[in-house]
Amino acid sequence: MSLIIKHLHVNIGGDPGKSLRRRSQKAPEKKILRDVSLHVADRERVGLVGASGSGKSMLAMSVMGLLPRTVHVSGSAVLDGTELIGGTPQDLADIRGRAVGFIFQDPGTTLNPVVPVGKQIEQPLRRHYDLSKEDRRERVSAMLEKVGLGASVASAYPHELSGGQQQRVGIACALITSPKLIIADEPTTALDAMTQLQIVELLVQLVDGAGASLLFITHDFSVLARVAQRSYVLESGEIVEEGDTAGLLANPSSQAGDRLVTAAKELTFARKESR
Amino acid sequence: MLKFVVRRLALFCVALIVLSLLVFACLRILPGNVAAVMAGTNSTPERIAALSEQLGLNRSYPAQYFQWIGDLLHGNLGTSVLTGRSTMAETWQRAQVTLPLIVLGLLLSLVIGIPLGVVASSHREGGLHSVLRYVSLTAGAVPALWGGLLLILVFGRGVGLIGIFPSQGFPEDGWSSPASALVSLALPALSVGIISGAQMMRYTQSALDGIAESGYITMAMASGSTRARAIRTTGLRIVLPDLISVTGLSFAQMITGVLVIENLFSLPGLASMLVTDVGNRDLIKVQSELMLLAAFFLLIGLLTDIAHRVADPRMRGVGAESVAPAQEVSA
Repeated sequence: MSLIIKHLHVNIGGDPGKSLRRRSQKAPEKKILRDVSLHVADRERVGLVGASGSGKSMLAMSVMGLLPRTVHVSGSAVLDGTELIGGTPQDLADIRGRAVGFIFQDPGTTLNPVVPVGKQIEQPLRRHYDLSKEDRRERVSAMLEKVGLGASVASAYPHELSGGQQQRVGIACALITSPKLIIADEPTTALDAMTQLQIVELLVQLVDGAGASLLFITHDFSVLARVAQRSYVLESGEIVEEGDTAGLLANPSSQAGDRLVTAAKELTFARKESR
Repeated sequence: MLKFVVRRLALFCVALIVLSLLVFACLRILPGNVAAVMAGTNSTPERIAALSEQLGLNRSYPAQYFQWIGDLLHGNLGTSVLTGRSTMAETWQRAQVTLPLIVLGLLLSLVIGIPLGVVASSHREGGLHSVLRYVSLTAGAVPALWGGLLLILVFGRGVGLIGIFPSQGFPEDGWSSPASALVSLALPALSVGIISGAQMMRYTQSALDGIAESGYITMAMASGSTRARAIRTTGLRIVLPDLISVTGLSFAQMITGVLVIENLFSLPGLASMLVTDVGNRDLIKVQSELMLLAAFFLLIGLLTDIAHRVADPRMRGVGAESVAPAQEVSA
């Protein structure tokens, strides 16, 4: 499944929207993304790297209709021939969780704290497919095994799991319907180095196994090197560099790319020194 | 969970004992002899002495207290000095008006408040959000007496514009004719329910607004829900424990809040009985009634706490031990 984004602009403020009509309440417009174009080909793993606040997460959220209506999105984002920008909330909801799976940064703040994780992994199946309870349960058990958790974890609540286990549940939620595009928004940021490695390897293995495409968003080049074949560098809402990840790591041409690569190298060096 | 329930039950018993001591002490600390107050200002010393003898008030305080508690435990609340009727029988009869009124009012409050709160929160970016917010603020600010009067003027049989509900009294044969009993509670329950429903709506809306932009809602949307649906399902489930607590508090508030409503609609309920008994200086009866009322408050608190624990798995380990440590599951 391919995703082609062209001339994407995301602004906050400016137009006060229906609930804030008075002129005095008009907030100054803030440009979050400016003329962003990127392409994720079928079965390709693409990285989107940028410093905190560069607009990486907003890109994924805006394209898939996860932002409030007060955020203005323009441009084009075509998912396998379907234009996403301007789609109705219901149209986009029909795509999310079925054709596109999301993995978020901190599962501790995204997994429903009062519902067992098995029920949460089941959610996309309930929303999009008419399956019997037994079928859903079987698929959840199989998915939990796939992400390296036992089927017994289905009855656990998020607070009973470690951070790494929670992220595995997050991956299971994203992959349960076998979507053909996975958007992973800094899925390893909240984890320790060892767990980061495990999660990254699991993700790559599952995405390749399912024949899906991956858009991997991160600020960490050292993680990206293990995941993405091709990468984009985002700075202050603009794509400043793109190319194959190995090339970007070896010889970044933009200042932002250079800073991120240097930081990744220094961090890796520091980690090795501290061992 | 079982540990929590046992601990909470123990606490309930302790609180009951403390409350019984307080209620007992309050009536004895008040200026004047209980028997003298009950007998009235113009009564003779002989009458006061006879009343003291009759009620056992000439005995020591501990003896009086233990006698009272012993009677309470056996379901004997004593008899009214004025009417000679059993307090237990009269309380039970009156409770058949007040408790259904509170339950109906609470149900109306939930039926009105929660769906409207969800609708308001689901339309956060539209005008409906503001409209519903102002409706809830206005309805919540209406005094119960005035709201009840308005309802009588609109719906009261014989006096209202659309006279479909009785506005005074309760059937003498009580619940033996359920339809007429229910109809006679319609306007009082609406008076209580609308005001409490407005508060419930404001609380539901505020609680849902607090998580509408949270990761939980984003996650539910990523699984295939629209924002409105995510707020309706995931959001409501997350705030459910808080709503349970608020419902418990509303229930407790209503016990005292129905006083005005019972008087306005001439309902022979518990609140009007208590007011009448205080006015009649039937203090020994008031003592038992206060005790029952306090026990009922505590019971509501106990049930609310247990329901809160059931609805929020994060709380199940808290209090009994500590939060359950992360399970080690083989990865």
